[in-house]
Amino acid sequence: MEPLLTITNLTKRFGTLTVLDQINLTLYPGEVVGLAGRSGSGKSVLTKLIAGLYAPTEGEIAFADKRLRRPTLHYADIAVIYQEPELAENLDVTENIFLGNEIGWSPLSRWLLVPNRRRMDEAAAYMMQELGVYEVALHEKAANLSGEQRQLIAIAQAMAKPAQLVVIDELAAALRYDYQQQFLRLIQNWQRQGRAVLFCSRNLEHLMAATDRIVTINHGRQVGNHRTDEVNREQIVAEMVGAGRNHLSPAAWALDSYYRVREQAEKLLFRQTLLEKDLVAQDTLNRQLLEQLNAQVTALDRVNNALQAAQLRLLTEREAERKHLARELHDEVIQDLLSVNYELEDMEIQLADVPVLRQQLPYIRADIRMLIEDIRRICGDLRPPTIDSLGLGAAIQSYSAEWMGRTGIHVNLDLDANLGRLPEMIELAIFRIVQEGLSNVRKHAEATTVDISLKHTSQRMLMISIADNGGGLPQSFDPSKLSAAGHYGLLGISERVALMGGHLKVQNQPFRGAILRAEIAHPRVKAVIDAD
Amino acid sequence: MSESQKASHSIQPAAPSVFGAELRLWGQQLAANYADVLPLVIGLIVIAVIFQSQNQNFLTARNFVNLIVQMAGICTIAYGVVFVLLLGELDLSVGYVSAVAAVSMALLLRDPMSWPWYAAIALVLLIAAGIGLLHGVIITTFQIPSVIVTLASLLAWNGVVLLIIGGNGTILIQDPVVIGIANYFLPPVWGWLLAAVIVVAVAIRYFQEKRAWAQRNIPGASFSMLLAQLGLWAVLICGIVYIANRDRGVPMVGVILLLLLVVLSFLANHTAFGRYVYAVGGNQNAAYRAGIPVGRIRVTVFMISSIMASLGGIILAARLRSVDTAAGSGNLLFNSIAAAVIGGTSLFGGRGRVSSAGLGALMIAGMENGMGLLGLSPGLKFLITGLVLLVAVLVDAGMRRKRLGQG
Repeated sequence: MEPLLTITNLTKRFGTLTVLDQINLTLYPGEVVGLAGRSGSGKSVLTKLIAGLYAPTEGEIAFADKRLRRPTLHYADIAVIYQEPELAENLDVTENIFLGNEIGWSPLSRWLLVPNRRRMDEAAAYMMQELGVYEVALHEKAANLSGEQRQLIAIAQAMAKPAQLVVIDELAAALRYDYQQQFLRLIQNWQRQGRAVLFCSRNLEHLMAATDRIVTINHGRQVGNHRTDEVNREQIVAEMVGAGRNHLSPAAWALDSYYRVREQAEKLLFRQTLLEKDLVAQDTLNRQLLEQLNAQVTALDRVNNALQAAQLRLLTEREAERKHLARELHDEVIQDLLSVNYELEDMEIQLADVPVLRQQLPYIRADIRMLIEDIRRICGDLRPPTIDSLGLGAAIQSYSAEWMGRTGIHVNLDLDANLGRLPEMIELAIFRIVQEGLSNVRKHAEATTVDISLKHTSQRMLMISIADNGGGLPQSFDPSKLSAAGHYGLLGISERVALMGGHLKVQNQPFRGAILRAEIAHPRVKAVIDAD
Repeated sequence: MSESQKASHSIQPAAPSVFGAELRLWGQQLAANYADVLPLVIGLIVIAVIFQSQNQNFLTARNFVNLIVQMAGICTIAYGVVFVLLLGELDLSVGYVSAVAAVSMALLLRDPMSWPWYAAIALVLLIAAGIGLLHGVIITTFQIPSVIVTLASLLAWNGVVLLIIGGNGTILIQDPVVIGIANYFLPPVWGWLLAAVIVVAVAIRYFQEKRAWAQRNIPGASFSMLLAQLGLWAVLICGIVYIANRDRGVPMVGVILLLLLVVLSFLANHTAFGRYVYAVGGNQNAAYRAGIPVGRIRVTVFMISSIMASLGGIILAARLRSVDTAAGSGNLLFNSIAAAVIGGTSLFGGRGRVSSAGLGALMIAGMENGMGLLGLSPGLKFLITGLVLLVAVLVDAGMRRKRLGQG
């Protein structure tokens, strides 16, 4: 392949001071060569020689086989990014970027080209985006830009130029860490496009990251020329400061570690910025999640409400069904049985002379009476007969008296004297709670006494408590596992209480036995009748 | 139904205030873009008021037309000077270059040669271009300050003029076309036609701009605002034509000045060349590093300056119908440069406008004209003109310091 840039025996002297001494360098298309050296080693002078700002004292620079002679500038094929960028202060950002490379329509010559501001603005915006720059207004005059922004404009100038060779003179110093990284990526892009890059830098990290070859110069003299893959930092530093590896002065290392520390600091700063950005993003995410959660909770609430309404309807209907069943049983079956019994009594009187009948009939009649009693009890369980006519208090009284007789467990009742009539739903619910509670006591508690109390705690609050003196709740009692454990009775209570908008608490008493407390709010009687 | 009613209700009362806000915005934009011209416009109004109060003849149609003819020479030369100043350079030779051009043309038109007017003018422009080339090449090749080079050539061209005219004293110009440059006035109908063409051109320019904004998705001025701006222009242009028509009509030089203004403004503001001139004036190193052929730009600018000077010389000669040994002398050079500087073109380079040079020339010519009407002594005239120039330069320096302070 033809070399793009050939520097042979290049020497530059200012007066008697030799700044560059016999430099030889070849650059091929698509190659990135780093030029390492300390400040004052002659890097900037070399770039200015290539750019044509200075004329060489001896030797020559050939670009694509053409010799660059005098300080001249018509090399559209060479773009130079200087350490201190010079911008036309009176022109704005876009005009500066495209200075000398205007996009537009040209009728005759390059000078009469009519720049197309819109296309240049678009291209400039694209370049700024490539560089990751968002805070520069394209119509800002260069005079109002910061040092870093000017450096970025200088990079964009090089991007705007269709150059085969890009010469970079130590720019990273003015740039923030993330711009530096962006710029290193840009160098790789140029390399992929087949451009050659000469990258002068004191920053070894950058040189190691971006270059194919590193040339070191020290006091204007070329010291080394290495493939980047085959050289280590120590060697480069040693060459830069001009000492043998073993005689490397601590100061040189200090210089190197200074750059490393500085890079670390910049990296940290960059991370911090990233973190801050992340935090903001996280915050946004959190907010979104919260909103989603809210929406889900609302949806759940809606479903829950629907479920509660359905359950309420179910309960109401079940109670209605029970009431109906109880009435059927009471009005039809019991009446029929009673009339059968009367007929049997008649039969007993009329057929007194049949011995078999006289012996058997009283038994049959006693069976039928027991049957009637059983059915009455079932009716009472289905629908306490007193609750509709006499109210909750009477119903509880009669049920507990019956229950006491049946189970032999003593019941102490403590009912609010001013209980009055409550909405049917609530009366039934409380009654069922008592029923269920007592049945639990009988089944699990092994108690001898049960205390039932039903009191208004406030105008709208009713507290019902059922306490026994039995064995208490087992250690493993967990209200949330009622359904899994098969305790549908207590579960039913808790559901009823929840439907009424009340609280249920089941716990052990201090000394012995368990206590069930339910607090139920009740609306005015009238309102519930309306709802019914 | 109710929605649309609501909408229309909310818009209708807002519409005038939107227009008002736009009007205010336009005012702010004008003030921002033409901040350097504002003192000049105020100055023009002030001198108009002062002279009118002293002499009733100042604000008459006749004097207005006279003023245009009087400013034409200075104005044309000042157009070229603007380019030199934009580079941050100075061309002191324009006065005598214009004289050389006038003398050459007069000689070419006269008996022994008797060239037709177009050939004579073409050759004169060529000569002027050569003079400019010479200046530019000397300045760029030997890196000598332009002031020194043009100071030397000022003397040299003065000598050339004296040598050519020598014993004759005065050369008369008799070519009717050349004389007509400064002495022909458009018939009223043509004047109005010109006004119409200008208004249409301005309108096209405005709507193009609006379309360009729209393409960039930036809401430009509203339609009514555009119409208002156009109306203002139309009133201004028609007013000028109307006043001129009340006297002898629109002078031919006025048309020439306008054409030159359009061409040179386009060159300065809408071509790469113009961009490079501003860039070199703003920061020569930046321009050089950006690959702009600074030397060639400089040479070209000096050529433009000399060509414009020669055109100015032709106009001045046409007005006098003759050339004599006094051609290019006196305060012609001073007035031309002063017109550009008073027009707000910075002596430090990189900032200025061709069009403002026209206003500057109007100021200079207006003061000369007014002071002439008042019959002031030449000493007093120079003193006052000098003071005005000083103020203009102070304003320029002040603005530069402000800008640097901001930067």
